[in-house]
Amino acid sequence: MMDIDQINILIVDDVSALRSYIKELLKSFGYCQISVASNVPEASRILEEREYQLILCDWHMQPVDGLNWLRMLRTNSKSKSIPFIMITAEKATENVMKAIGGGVDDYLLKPLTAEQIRVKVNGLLIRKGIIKG
Amino acid sequence: MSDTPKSIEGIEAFVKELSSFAVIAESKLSLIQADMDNNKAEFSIFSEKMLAIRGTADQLGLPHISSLAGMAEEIALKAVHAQTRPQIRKCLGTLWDAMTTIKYLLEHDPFAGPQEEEQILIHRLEATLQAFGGARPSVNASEIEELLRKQSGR
Repeated sequence: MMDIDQINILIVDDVSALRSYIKELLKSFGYCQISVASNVPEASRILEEREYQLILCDWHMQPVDGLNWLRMLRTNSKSKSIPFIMITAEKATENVMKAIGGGVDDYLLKPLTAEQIRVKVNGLLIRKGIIKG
Repeated sequence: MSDTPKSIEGIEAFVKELSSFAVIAESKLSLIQADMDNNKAEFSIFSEKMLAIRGTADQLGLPHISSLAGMAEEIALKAVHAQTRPQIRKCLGTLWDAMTTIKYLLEHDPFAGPQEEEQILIHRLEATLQAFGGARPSVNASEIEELLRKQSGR
C-alpha cells in the first residue's frame, strides 16, 4: 500500500485546458506527483522515467489515439498492469466495447465533474490495492 | 457550466481550444470539397474533431454547440461510407452549415444559448442523419459502468 502523496499519475490529453483542470483537481484531492503529456509519444517517454500507478488518458488524439496506446501498454510486461482510465466523450456502444476489450480499467465520460473524477480515481486505486480504502 | 474552472481565463482557454478544433475541421471539409472521390476518408478526421468539440462543449455547459457537433460527428461518419457523389455532396453541404454555425457561435457569444436559426439547422441535421440511417447506438455513464462491471467481474 502507498500513501496518496506517493502515487505517480500521468494525464494525457491534447486539450491543455482539460489537462490543467484535471491536474488541479487531483492536487486538491491530495495527489501531488502528477505528470502531463499532450500526446502519446510524449506520454510514452514520460512513462520510461519512473513507475506510474495510474494513467488518465484521452481517447481521440493524433498521431496515436488513446485506445491504440492502451493496447500497446497491455502487451508490454512493464506497463500491462498500470491502471488506465479512458477520458472521452465517446459513447457509441461499439467503441465503448472496443475500449473495454482493449483492457481499460475505468471510463470517464465527459462532461467531467470533480466528484466523478474523485470517485473513479480513488475507487480504482483502492480496487487495485494501491491505496487504502 | 459543469465543474470546469469558473475563472474567465479558464473558460477562455477552453473556448480557444474549441476554436482551434473548428479550424482543423474546416480545413478537412475544404480538402474533401476539392476532391470528393479521393478525400472522402478525411470525413473521419472531421468526425473526430466534432467529437472533441462535443466533449469540450459538454464540459463547458454549452449544450447547443454540443448538440450541433454531435450530429455533425454522426453525419461525417456516414459520409465516409457514402456510395454516390450526390450523397457525399449532401453530407458536405450539411456539414459546412454545421461548421459555419459552430465557428460563429464560438467566435461571438458561445454562452448565448440556441437561437431560432440554430434550431432550424438542428432539424436539418437530424433529417440528414435520419436519411442516412440515424445515429449509432450509444450508452450512458451508468450503462458503461455496468459493462465494465461485467467485464471485470467486480
